[in-house]
Amino acid sequence: MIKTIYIEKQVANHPRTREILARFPDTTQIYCERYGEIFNRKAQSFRLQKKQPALILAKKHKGFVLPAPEAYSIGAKENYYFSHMMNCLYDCRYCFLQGMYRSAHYVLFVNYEDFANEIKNKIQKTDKEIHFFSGYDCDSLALEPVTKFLEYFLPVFRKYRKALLEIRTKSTQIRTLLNTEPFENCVLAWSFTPAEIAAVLEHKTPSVDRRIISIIKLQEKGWRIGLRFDPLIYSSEYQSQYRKLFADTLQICNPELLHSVTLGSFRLPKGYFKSLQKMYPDERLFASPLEEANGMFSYKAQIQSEMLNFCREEILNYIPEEKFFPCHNAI
Amino acid sequence: MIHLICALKCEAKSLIAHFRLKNCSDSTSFPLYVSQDKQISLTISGVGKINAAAATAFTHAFLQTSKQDIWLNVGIAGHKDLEIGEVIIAHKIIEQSSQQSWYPQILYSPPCQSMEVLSCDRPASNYSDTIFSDAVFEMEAAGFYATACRFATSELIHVVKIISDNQQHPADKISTPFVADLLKDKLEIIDQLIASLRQLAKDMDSPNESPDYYDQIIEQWRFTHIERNRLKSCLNRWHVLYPDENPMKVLDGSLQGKDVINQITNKLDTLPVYY
Repeated sequence: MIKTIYIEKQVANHPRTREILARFPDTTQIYCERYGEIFNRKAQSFRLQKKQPALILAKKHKGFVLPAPEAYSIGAKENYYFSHMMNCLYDCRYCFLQGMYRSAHYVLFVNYEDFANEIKNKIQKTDKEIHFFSGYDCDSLALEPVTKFLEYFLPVFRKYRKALLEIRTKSTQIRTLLNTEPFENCVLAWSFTPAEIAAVLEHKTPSVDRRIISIIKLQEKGWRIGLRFDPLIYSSEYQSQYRKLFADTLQICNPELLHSVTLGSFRLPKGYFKSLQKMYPDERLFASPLEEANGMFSYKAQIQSEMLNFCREEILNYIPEEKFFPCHNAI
Repeated sequence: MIHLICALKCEAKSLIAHFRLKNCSDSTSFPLYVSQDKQISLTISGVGKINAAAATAFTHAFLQTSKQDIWLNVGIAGHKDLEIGEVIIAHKIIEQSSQQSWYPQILYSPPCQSMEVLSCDRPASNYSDTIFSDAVFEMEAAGFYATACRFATSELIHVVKIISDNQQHPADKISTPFVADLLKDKLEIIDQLIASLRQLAKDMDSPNESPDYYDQIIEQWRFTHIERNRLKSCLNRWHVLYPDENPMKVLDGSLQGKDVINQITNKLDTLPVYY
């Protein structure tokens, strides 16, 4: 429940700002010059703010669309990501956002039109297949009733068949999608960890079962689906836990509508890891058998390799290899 | 610990009595009062942002405050039309001279309304400032807040003001007993605010600087400074995974500190992790 909204003065009269403020008439609305006055301040506690995050309505000025790391590719040579929001409704203990940002408040950039122009420019400048990812710095769907992100961006991509949009989420906010005619170049990608792990580490997220129900409904409607087993979380029972997860998710997927499956190991830049460990000193995840290599914390090489091999073999029992994109080792 | 900063003795009087604070005679720079259990302090800063900043820094240095401490600036303020005695908490503090702003983070249901606070260099006589027409006027918040943010996390630092004057009852009518009575009547709200902040502060976990078994281990083996830090992190990890087990049981008479760390780490890496 949002109780406070900060508003950059320069977007105070933007129609999207007015619509959002009208939706929350009982909130405290505070005007600021730039969102960084609140978001980038020192002496903030991400952990405390996560108890009652505020919404910040702001304007993005540059860097609307950024190159995505090559390791994230799901088949195209040109890959970009864009983030209309910073921070997430959910509270996943492994999430790098907790280490990256000082504040847990949600920043929503209301100038979608500028994002769309940059996306169109990128599409028009290339003859190649081009992929755009949404959901790196936020969950793309979780705040849909407020942001109307899909309402705006789905029509943008519907016009450009060679540009694929991946919407990464753990959310079950699918009403807009159920009310929209699906199109070929949009993939709705759900992230999963086994239910036992999700219950402990993915706070405030819909259960694995509820996510699966959302997938089933959207498949029935004809939407293309992606499954993202990222990050892989180690437990002494990981084989049985992941075997069940793969069976539960991959078996229900219609092979014709399943676009891709990816696998990613748990990894965090050293600085982020240290921040998280300090923030949650009693968290079991950070006491797991991890090691630092090249400035990144991840599971010890042997554990990581065993998990990746096991998961790869299990996944390939269900899907053809061309739909499988293993191991993303970058943030 | 909770630190209260008040500009005037008359603002502090009721708080000193309410929290049963005792004058700390060791403090010569600013009048400082501390509760018997050392959980609440109150410093009288004098009027203005520079005094407020200095008193805040002094309190930090004198009491060796920690990042998890709660800081409150409590005092009187003016507003064009808020009723005398109305209590507000600041959600935005503007320093009038520099136009710099700060945004205290209110992560709980406040016991009073929140408002913009304008920190002025001089007492404000014009209640209808055209730019900050709905702000509360006072003289300490900016100095206090900017300084306290150096020592604690911003979510636990707040500015509470009680309206003492408005257009109908201007500041020149304020007397010392009147201010003391104003504060006395609002102690319940300050108590509620402190209770909310105490609840919030409980979630400010920090790594245990002296984990279980640390003292016993460093008595038996020699460690360099870096190794001691590694040992702490190792023992903290042990505490998370095996809180009921004694890590010293896995040590088999190693001679060097680094061997101790390796033995504990090796054991931790082989034990099962369950979710």
